[in-house]
Parts: sequence; C-alpha cells; structure tokens
Amino acid sequence: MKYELKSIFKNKVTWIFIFILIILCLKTVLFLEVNNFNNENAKDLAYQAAMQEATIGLEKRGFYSQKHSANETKWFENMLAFDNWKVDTYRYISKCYKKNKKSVEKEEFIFNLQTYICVFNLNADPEKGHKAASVVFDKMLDQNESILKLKELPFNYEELVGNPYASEDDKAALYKSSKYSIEYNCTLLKNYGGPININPLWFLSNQLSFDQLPTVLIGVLIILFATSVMVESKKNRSIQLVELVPGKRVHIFTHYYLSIWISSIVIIGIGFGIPLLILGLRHGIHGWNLPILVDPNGFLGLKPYVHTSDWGITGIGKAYGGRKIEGYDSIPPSTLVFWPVWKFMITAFIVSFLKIVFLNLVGCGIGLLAKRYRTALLISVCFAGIYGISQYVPANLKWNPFSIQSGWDTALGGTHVTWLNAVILLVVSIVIVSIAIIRWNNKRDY
Amino acid sequence: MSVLSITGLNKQIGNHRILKNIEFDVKEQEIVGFLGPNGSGKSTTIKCICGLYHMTSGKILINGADVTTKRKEALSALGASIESPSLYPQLTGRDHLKLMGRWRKVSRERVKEMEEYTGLGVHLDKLTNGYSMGMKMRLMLAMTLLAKPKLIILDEPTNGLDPQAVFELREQMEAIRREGSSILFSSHQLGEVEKLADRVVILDQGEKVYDGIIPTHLMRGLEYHLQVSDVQRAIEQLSGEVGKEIRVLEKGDGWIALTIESKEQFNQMISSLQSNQISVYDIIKCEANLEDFYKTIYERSGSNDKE
Repeated sequence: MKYELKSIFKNKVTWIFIFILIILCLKTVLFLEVNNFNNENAKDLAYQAAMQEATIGLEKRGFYSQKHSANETKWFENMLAFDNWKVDTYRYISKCYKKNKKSVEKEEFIFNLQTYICVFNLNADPEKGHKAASVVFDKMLDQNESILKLKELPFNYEELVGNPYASEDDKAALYKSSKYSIEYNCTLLKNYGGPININPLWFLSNQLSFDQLPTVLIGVLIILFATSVMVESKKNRSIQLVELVPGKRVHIFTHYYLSIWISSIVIIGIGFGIPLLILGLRHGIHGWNLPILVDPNGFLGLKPYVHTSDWGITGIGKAYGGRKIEGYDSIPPSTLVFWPVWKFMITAFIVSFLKIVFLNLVGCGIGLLAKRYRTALLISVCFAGIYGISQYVPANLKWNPFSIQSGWDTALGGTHVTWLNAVILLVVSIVIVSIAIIRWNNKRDY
Repeated sequence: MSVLSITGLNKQIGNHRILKNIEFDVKEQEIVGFLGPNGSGKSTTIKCICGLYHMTSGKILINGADVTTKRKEALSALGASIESPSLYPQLTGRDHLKLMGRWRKVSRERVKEMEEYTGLGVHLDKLTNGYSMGMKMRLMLAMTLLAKPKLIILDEPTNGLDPQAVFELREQMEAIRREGSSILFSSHQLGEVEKLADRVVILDQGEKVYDGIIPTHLMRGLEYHLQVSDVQRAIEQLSGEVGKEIRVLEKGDGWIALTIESKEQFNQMISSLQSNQISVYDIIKCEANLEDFYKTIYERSGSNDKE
C-alpha cells in the first residue's frame, strides 16, 4: 500500500482536496477565536430576565386574587423572592457578559447550580419520598457551602419545599430532571472546580454539528476525491498494471478502494488535525471525561428523539454544565445515565466511520465502472449533489443512506433516524453497493 | 507444448462480431509476430488473452491454465505490455519495480537484478513522468520480466522508439527467448517482425487469414525485373516457356517483371530472348519481403470477400 498511497499523495488533485478541507476547518477555528459569544449570552439572559418578570406578574395576579392561609402566603412570598432573585441575577450576569468580565462563566455556573437546588426543593415532596436537597445532597452542600452560599440568598431555599400549586406528575418529573442537573454540575464542581474548557471538542462539535455546511462539504469532497483518483489512474493507464496482476477481478476493486479509503482518512486527519492542534496549543485540551447525560435506549431504539443532554457552551468550548433537561418528556429521566464524553464520541465516530466507508464506495465505484472520464466526473458530481440535498431535507428520506447526518448529530439524537437506524442503514447500503460494484466489475471489459 | 493456446475465440458486442473463431498457439521459446491492419482485432485478441476482455465463446490457455476459470494461474505465467507503457507518473522507476515485485511476490534480489537490467542508472530514482519513451519501454520490459513469465505479450513495443532503441529491444527479445520465454508481439514495423519472428499470425476483419512461417521465397520465388527492347514480343516469347506471372512494370521504358523458379530457368530466359533478337538492356534481381507477403495476403483476403 506504501507505493499506492505515495502515488495518490504526490498527485496535485489530492492536495487540492486537502487544501479545501483545511480552509473549511480553519474557517471554523477563526469563527471560534473571534466570536466569544458574550454578546449573545448577554442578550439571552436579558430575555430570560424579562420572561421571568412577566411570569412573576402572572403569579402575583393569580395568587392575590384569592384568599390563602398564612402558611401558603409565607411560602408564596418566599418563592416570589426566589423568582425576583433570579431576575436580578440574570440581569447582573448579562451585564458581566457585556463587559467581558473574566469570572462571568464561573459566576453563571454557581448561579445555575443554586437555581437547580432551589427548583429541586420547589418540587420535593417528602411525604412521597422526594426528599429535600439538604437531605439528598447533604455532603455536597456541606463541602461547598462557601462556594454556593445558599444561606446568604435573599430567600430561604429550604422553605421552598411543599409547592402546593403544581401537579404531582409535573413535580415528580421536575424533581428528577433537576436532580440530574445537580449531579452533573456537582461532578464538574468536584472534578474541575467549576465550568471547564472542552477545547478542542468544541471545534469538533461546531464543525460536525452546529455548522452544517462543513459537514455536507466533507461528504461531497469524499465522493469527488474517490472518483478523481480512479479517473486519474485510468487516464495515466496505471490501472492496467493492477488489471494484469495475477488474481481475481475483485482484487482490482479492493486494491483501489482500500488505498482511496486510507487516503480519505489521512486527508480528513490532516484537515481536522491542524485546527485541533492549533486550538490545543492555544487553549489546552480538556473535557474528554466530561459527564454527559445520556439515555442509552436512544442509541438502540428505532424511534428518534433527543437522548443526550448537550452541554452549554460559551467561548472556546467552555462548559458550565449540562442544560436543564427542558421538555423532559422527550427523555425518560429514569433511564438517564452519565457517560464520559469520550464514550459518546466513540458512538458518534462509528456512524462517521461508516459514512466515510459508504461515500468512498460510491465515489470509487463510479470512477471504476464509468467508461469515460467525463461521464465518471459528471455522475460523481450528481451523487455529490444528491448527498448535499439529502443532508438538508432528511426528514422525508428515512431510507436514503445519503441523508444520514453527521455521526455527532446522530449520536446526540433528534435526527430523522436513530443511531441504530443509521448504523443498520449504512451497513446494508455498504453491502449492497459493494456487491453491485463487484458484480458489474466482473462482467465488464476493461 | 504450447505456452499459449487459443481455440474458437469469438468476441461479439451487440450485433458486431469483432473476433471470428480465432485459433492459434505459441510454442515454447517461440517468437510470434501478430499482424493486421488497424481494426483487425489484434488488440481485442490480446486483451482477451490477458483476461481484460470477456470472450463470447472460446478458450484461452496460458501455460495450461484457462484464463476464464483460473485467472490467477494464467496471469502468473504472463507478462504483458499493452499499447503504451502503463506507469504511475508520480513514482520513480525503482518504485515501480519494487511495487511490481511485491505484487508478483518476487525476491528482492530479483528486483535488484531487474533494476540493473533496465540500464537506467540514476534515472531509476527519477519520476517516470520525465522518462522518454525508450526509458519507459525499458522499465516496462523489466517489470514484465520480473516474475520470469512463460509468455510475454508486447503490443506495439517499437512505437515511439528511435532506431537505436529498436535495435536494443530486438536484442533483448532474442535474449528473452534464449532464457526460455515465448513472445507474442504485434507491430506495424514489418521489418522488425521479419527479423525477429519465427512465425506470424495475421488477422483481417476479426478473422485469422494466415498462421505460419514467412514463406516469401516460396510465395514469390526469384523475381527479376528486365528492361527489354520489345515488351510485347518478350512477353509472347517468355510466356509458357519460363516463369510465371510475367507483367509489365509501370516504370515504363520496356520494363517487365517475371518470377522464375531456378537459375537454370534464368539462363533459358536470356537465351530465349537473345535468339529472338530481343535485346536485354538491364536486369534487376528483386528480394521478396514480408511487406510483399503481407500485401499478398490482403489481396487474397479481399478476393475471398468479393467471391
């Protein structure tokens, strides 16, 4: 394989593809370096403050329009103080983001943990076994008293227990979801002292998930690259050397496919490796063991839903813990477990790996089987186009292997097919396309 | 024993029959010239032999192995260079030999031996996209010989070569035959084929029209061109007495051509002309060659078509 790869990597066409991929990836690096998201965070928090204020208004009108007992009034006014504290803190942190205050992320992290503890208490029901935070998280609260300063808050967080106004089901669900959020953030606090920098994973998640264009372009590049290598070998007739090697005809296909596939991996490695190195050198490498909440059933089921909690991110991959599991009914809280990020990445990588295998097969097959160079390139462009379109309109194309999104998105959940769906679909497609290529190759005249 | 045996080879694409019942073989240590005009089916036949084309029907055995059912064994006994040399432009000559050595599972010593054989010297470490045609041919030949194949197929090996390179190639081919391999080569350079080939196989329009030695002396005999004083009387005098196919040459000035069987007939011819007061001003003895033979074959082939 050494000489075949040498031949591929000495070809100008290969370096054009590498160059395009590096530009795509460096564009993302530049975006991450230039945008610190502080302004967006500031706006988001200001919005939350406004929403919370509106909620307070509704709660007050609702409560004071009826008569209540002294205990109920006491509870309500304590809860109002909690809500007002949230409004003030949102606004404070929003200003800190606008001023680019260095400690803002740590402050927001502490605020979020305090909020989760309060929400936990708000939905606790000791009579039903849902005990308060001071019981469930007693050790953690003791150890971190000086950080959390719960007793210095302008309300009594322990007296939030016993919410009489929420339904039993809602309380149970919010109790569980906030429990996970507290556990998650406590892990961060314990292991990292607060929010952590998940650099350069943030680059990867941005490249392969948030910004869809690079993901789509990478797939397009793989198809076109595979075809162009085959076309080059036919143009310079070096393919004849392979055709005359003693062996079965299938050897010709496997020989080229393997060298093209390895080359693709190397190209992607170079294209991604350079930005990862830059970010790693500039900001360090962290976050591989970051806990991420996962519903493992989501990987192996056939009904797609968001089954992982993505982390909240600002700046160059700084994480301050998982977001609250909003819309908890999409993830059964009882089935959530903590996974380290590296484990999640392996599941994502499996899908990415299969996608690369499949797209290379398509490109290689086109180049091998098309008789004319222009026909091969034209068909390759068509398939690249099909892939691109399928990526943007996947919902209606459940059985189309080109529509499978990035490994990262598929592992996160919420794409049109589950992880298991994606793996099965890709494996079946790989088998079918391989058989078709081999059979056609065996029948044709070279 | 035949190193190559082709029986009943037919190739059809759609309604077009490209090859029609081709049959011939190549024996051990034999050099066979494979001739035919463009479009006669030579390249198609060669590609069928190399397993690159599927046959519609027929059988091809290389060193006893069927190309269709035992492709690996058949190609193991074969070395081929089809059309122009097939090389990776981004690899050096040395890389090519090592690569081919790996594919053909030959020893490093053999690879080194072939590196010497190329005679390329320092050029071996240069990229082949900078090689001349002669250098490419030398490298291709070395790659073809790496595994010491029983049969070597060379398609138009002299294309693009200068006379010196052609001469060297001819010597190399003779040496290959002495070392035990057989060669089937196609060429439009009839002079080279005549010098090298033990036998020729000639195709025309997908059919074999000749398979055998080059019997120029049998075909043409001894041909003489005579310049005489009276063409008409000379023809009348000589017809029936000596020679065959007496014809007037287009040179003009009283030239005629005739073929005679022996030197005795030559004396008889001169005596006959002189005794009838027909002067002979000039005599030219013509050596028949492959080109003439080739033309004859195609004239016959054309006649058969008309019939």
